[in-house]
Amino acid sequence: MNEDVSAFRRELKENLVDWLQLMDKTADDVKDDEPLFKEGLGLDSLDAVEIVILMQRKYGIPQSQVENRREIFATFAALADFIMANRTK
Amino acid sequence: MKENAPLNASRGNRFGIGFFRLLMHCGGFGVALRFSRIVAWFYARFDRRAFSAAADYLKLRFPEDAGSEKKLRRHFHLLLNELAKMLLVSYRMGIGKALPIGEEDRKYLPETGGVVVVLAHFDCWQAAMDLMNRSRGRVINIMARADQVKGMDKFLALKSRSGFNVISTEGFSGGLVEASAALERGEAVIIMGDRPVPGAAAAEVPFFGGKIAVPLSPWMLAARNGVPAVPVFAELHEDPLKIVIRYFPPVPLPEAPGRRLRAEELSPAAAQYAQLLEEAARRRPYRVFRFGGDVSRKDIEKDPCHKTEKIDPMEKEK
Repeated sequence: MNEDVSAFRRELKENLVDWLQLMDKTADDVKDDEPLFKEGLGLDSLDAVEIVILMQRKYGIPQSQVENRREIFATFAALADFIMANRTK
Repeated sequence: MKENAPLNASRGNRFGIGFFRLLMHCGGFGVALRFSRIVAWFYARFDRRAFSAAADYLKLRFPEDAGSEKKLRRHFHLLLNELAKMLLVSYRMGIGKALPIGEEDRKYLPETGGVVVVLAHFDCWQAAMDLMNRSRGRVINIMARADQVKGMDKFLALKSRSGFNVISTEGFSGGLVEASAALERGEAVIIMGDRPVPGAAAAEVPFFGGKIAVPLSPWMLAARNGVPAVPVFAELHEDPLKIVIRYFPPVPLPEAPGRRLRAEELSPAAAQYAQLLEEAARRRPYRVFRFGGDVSRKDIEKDPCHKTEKIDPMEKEK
C-alpha cells in the first residue's frame, strides 16, 4: 500500500470515529478488512446515512453517486477506495 | 396462518381478495362493506394473534377497559370494521372510482424541493399515498416493505399503484441511503412515522400516558438533508363520503451538526409527532392501526431514547 493510500485511510478512520461519535473506538480499532456493520464496527442503517453525508460534506461526493452501491459499504477498505477514487475535495 | 409472518402478510388470501373484488364490481361498495363486517367479526372472534397485537394500543387508548378481555374484544371488533372499510375505500380509489377530496392547510407542504412526508397507519392512509402521487409533478418516493405474499395482489400491494418510486425498506440500509439521495435531488419521500421497521432505530415516546416506539429515520433524514418533515393524515368523512387530507406544520428538527445526530437529539421530534397521533386517536380511536410493539405503562423507562436490536444493513437485502 503506498503512502498516499495509507495516509488517506488513517484520515478517514479518524473522520469516521469523530463523525459517528464512536465513543469507545479509536482510529486504530477500525480494521481495513472488517465489515462496517454488525460484527465489525457495529454500525446501523442510520450510520449508513451519516457516512453518506460525511462523504458529501467532506469529500464532495454527491449522494446519488452512492445510492444502490451497497458494495461500497462492505468493508472500510472498500469505502476508502471508493472515496479516494471519487472525491472532489 | 403463519405465526411468524407479519400480520398483514398472513391474513387474507387470493380467494378472499378476489371475492371482495367481485362483490365490489357486482354489488357495489355498500355490499362489499356489509360483507366485510362479517369477516371483521370472524377475525375479532377467532384471531388471537391479531387481538394480542392490537391489545397494546387498545389498552393505552381505553385504560378503563384494559382489565376486561371482553371489552377489549369489542374495541378490537370495531377497529377491524374500520380497517376493512379503509381497505375497501383504498381499493375503490385504486380502480379509479374517485371520491371528493378536501385539503386542509396544504400550505405546509412546500411545492418544490425535498420534503419528508410523514404518514401514519391512521384512517385512510393509503388514500393519502394515492393523493400525494397525483401532486403537481414532483417525484414521489415511498418507503415500504415489499408485499410478503408473492404473487398475491393484495389491496395493500403498492405495485398496483402507478407513479410511485418504491424504496424497499428491506434493501441496503433499510432504504435510507436511497431515500437520502432522493431528498438531495429535491424529491419527496413518504415514510410511515408511527411504526418502526423491526431492528431500526426508534424512540420510545409518550402516548396516552404510556409509551410507544416510533421510528427516528424520518426526522434524521429530514434534519440531515435540511428539508422539512411534514406530517400528513388522510381522513375519511362520511355523509357525504369524502377524503380530507390534513397537513400539519413541519416538525421542528435539530440543527444537523458536523457529527452523527444522536437519538436524544431526534427524539423530541418523534415525541411531537406522537402527540399528533394521540390527538388523532382521541378523535378517531378505531382508525389507528397499530399492531404490536407498544410499551405498557408499567414499563416506562427513564431513558427517553431506545434503540432496538441492531441488524446489519447489508443483510437486509434479499
